[in-house]
Amino acid sequence: MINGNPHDFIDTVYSGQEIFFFFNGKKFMFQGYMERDICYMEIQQHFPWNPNEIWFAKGDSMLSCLDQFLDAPIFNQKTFWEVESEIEWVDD
Amino acid sequence: MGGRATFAIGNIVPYQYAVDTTFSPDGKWEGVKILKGTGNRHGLPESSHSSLAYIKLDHNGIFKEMRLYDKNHCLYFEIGYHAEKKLDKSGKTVLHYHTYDSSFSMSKVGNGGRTPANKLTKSMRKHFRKFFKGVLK
Repeated sequence: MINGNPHDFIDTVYSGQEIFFFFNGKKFMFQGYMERDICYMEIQQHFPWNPNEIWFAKGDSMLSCLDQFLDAPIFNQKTFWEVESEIEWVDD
Repeated sequence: MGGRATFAIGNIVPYQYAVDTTFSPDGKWEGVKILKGTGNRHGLPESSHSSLAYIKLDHNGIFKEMRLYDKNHCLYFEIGYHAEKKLDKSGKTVLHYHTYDSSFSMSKVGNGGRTPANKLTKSMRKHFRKFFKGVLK
């Protein structure tokens, strides 16, 4: 991972805190949250701006959402661990 | 300033954040410390050390995020300034907030209770306005 540790990235995904990152020339934001005891995680594309859903998960725990994140082919049909070396974690 | 399950449970760890003096000589804005992560650290701390609030600025010195902590070093309130699809589909930056359970700072595991983004209320904007460095609206 560029400017980051992939294990710290995964810990932050689990916590639901916002992560801004670049992949394949595009900028994304990850976040997780809870509403009425249901956990959610999502990825938004911020640059170029895309109002459509990039990835979304729902579960009874942040851990179950994290498992969905790790299994999903979000990154050009590949999973996080397959492309983590190409992801750049940025501050804003 | 530390991660989850650090200062909030009496677990003293090395600081992973430094005071950012890039845009303010004393590293503060309206009395609140401006922080930046050290090494490959990003964002703001998950638990506080001696402060009740921290601010993060973006690379242009514009307000990016503010976190508030209770007297037990637990994060409970976060204001962000960036695009949020559910709040504005046009992609405009929007001031918004999240809240957290105290469990978030006290344990590395568990759901943490982070709430979805909500726009700041009128009274919140008025109360926190002075901290929004460089934000025109």
